[in-house]
Amino acid sequence: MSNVIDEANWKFHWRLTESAGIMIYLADYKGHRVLWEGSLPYVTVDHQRQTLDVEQDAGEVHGPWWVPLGTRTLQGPVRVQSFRGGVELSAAFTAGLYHYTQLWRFHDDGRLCPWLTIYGPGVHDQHTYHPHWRFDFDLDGARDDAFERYEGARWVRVENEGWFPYSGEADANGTVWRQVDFGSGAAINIRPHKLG
Amino acid sequence: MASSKKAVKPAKAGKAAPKAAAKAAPKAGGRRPPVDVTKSDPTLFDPLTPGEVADALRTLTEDRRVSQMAKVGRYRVICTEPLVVKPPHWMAGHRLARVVCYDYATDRTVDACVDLDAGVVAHLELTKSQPMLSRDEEALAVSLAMVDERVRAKLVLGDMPLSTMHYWGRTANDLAFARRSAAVVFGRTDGHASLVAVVDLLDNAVTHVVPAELW
Repeated sequence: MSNVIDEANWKFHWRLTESAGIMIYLADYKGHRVLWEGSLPYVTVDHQRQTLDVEQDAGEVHGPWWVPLGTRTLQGPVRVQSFRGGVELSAAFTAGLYHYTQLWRFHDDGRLCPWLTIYGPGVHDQHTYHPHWRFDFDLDGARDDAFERYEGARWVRVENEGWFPYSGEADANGTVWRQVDFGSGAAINIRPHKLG
Repeated sequence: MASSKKAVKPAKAGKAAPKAAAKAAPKAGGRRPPVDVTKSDPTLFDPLTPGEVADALRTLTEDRRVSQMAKVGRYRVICTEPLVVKPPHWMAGHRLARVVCYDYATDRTVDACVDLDAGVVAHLELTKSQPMLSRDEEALAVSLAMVDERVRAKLVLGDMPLSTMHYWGRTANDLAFARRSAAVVFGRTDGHASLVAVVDLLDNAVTHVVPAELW
């Protein structure tokens, strides 16, 4: 199977990594470079206590753990499938009691949706997953790009690297962060998944 | 969520935009502008061949900065993967390998970028960070847990190792806070976990045995 997909107005490459799931790279939309590289470097699992005694210290005893999603945990092949309005890449990973399906969904209207579906019982019910994605966008090339976040009902330029979590504030389209290319005026609009 | 159709007006932020634009523009009469990322070679992302992996490991172990690690030989190769550097970095366009090793003798991680075109270690970091477990370490943790008396005493019929997780403690009281550790989860294949054994990979010993429901 070729690792170059040219479909639904997108052209991108992919490969299975040792620890960062399916990586996509050099992705173009309608001939414009959008992404240098995107991957899922790690998914940590944190556990909380099943029961809490008032005599006990409320702090958590155990730290997090993780297992790489990659060649060693892959179940079956990486699948490339067309759907109405796009094309998607998917792969299932299993590590004992933890099961994951990673998807990259490319829509012909320009949307790119990274998905991680988590299932499997885990060690017990009281646990939290922390997926960490990495996106390296290059809109129409690396030059003339700026990163902005929506804050205080307006777009604010991010000048320095930092931690800019979703505070619940978004523009009218639900966009929280964006990367803007001055040259073309195009933007990559980043929207968190809506819950509920 | 990429869209090249919808033009937007970027937010104003002082002098940042003119500076960035000026930086990107070629100087009159100066050197030609650097190659942009849009001209990158996709084959640089291809998986390393066995020969490239061997070449990268040879180059790393012959580097004098890690000669002691290679001489003592108490290290494991965690992963070797292709690394692609973006223009205008001087290594852009070179075939690069990222090699991550864990040196048990010094309890540190060796994270190297090997330039396969030039045959040199282009970048080397020696840190206390913890890379993922290698497959060998996962297998070792399982074998250590399986022969531990405390583990064997608590396993019931049908229990088997289900997975080996890279684990680190939350507080300094936990040995796994600062020492390379794995957690072997035992249970039945029907999806019920029974026991967790924490294995110290530096001392090759099981340090904790915890019923899964109390984890």
